[in-house]
Amino acid sequence: MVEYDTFSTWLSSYNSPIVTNISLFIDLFTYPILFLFLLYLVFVKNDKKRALAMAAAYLILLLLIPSLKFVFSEVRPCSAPWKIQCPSDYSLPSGHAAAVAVLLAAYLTSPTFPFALFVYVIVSLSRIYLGVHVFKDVLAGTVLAFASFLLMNKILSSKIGDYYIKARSRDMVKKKW
Amino acid sequence: MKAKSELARQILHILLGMCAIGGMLILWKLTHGWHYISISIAWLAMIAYCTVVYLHSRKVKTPLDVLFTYMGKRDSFPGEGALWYLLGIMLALSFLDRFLYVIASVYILAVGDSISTIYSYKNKYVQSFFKGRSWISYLAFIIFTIPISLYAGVLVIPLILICTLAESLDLRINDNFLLPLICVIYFRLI
Repeated sequence: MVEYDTFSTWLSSYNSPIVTNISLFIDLFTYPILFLFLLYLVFVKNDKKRALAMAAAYLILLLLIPSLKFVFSEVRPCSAPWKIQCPSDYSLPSGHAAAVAVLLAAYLTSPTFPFALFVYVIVSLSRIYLGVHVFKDVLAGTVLAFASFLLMNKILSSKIGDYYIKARSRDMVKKKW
Repeated sequence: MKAKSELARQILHILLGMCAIGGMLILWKLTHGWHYISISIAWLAMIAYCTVVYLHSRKVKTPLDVLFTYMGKRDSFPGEGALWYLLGIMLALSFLDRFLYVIASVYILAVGDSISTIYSYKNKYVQSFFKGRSWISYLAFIIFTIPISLYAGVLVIPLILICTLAESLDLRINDNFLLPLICVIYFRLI
């Protein structure tokens, strides 16, 4: 018998049709909505730098999360089977929490942060409410997402920065000539 | 002045780690659910810290603004180093289940990194390879982190040696995350 934390057990045992429907919507549409959001950032907002860092972080997570799930092989709690059919893969870390945590990391110092925080909290809690994850999985997903985004942002910023500096210095040399 | 501020930064680094270890020790003594309570506190701390960083970037004054004056000379945004530190503790908490392993990881992160930086700063003329660290800083890292092996067992000694070398490598990953990452991989492998 696997023991789960009290908060996760309490939240997954709570039952409300409205909250269940919202959580099921989140379960199904988090990834497509985030993909559309990335397209919106690139084509409408023209915020390519942020979109590139987010996309790079998602690529890392796409490789990392299924691998870690397989390595740790932690069984899902599946404490509320009347809400959702238990997924066949493993529990640790949470992919949904990681996906929205990238959004939180990307908008940390932007005016959109309160909205990103709201989305992150709602999505994270919905995973526990549906009984497909425990708090530990959500925290693990968050850590991986933040680390991937901050690392990718640093690498891409320096690469893009170097590229612009070189391009600018080339332009200045041309102007002098 | 620069040396004093660096020293203050490193002391704050050690104190934060000691507070985390102290908190977990108290929870461990009081309840069987120390792990889940620690995870919940870490999650809430992360949300609170992100909010403080956001408020600081929006020029809203908070009592924690003092912290930003001591932090982040190499950070790409204010408080980035502290965020990595928090992520390091969260990494140890979420991927390690045994109390002693979590405590050992946080101790190495809090004490090893700081002591090594303090000693490399003091002995800047005795240079060696790897990020300009002096031999004394390697020794200081080992001497100050060895006591945790009395508590967590001799298995920690090879980990300390690996962390000493890894900490001095000039990698893209922040040290505050790199050390717990090595600890997690090591403890998961043994």
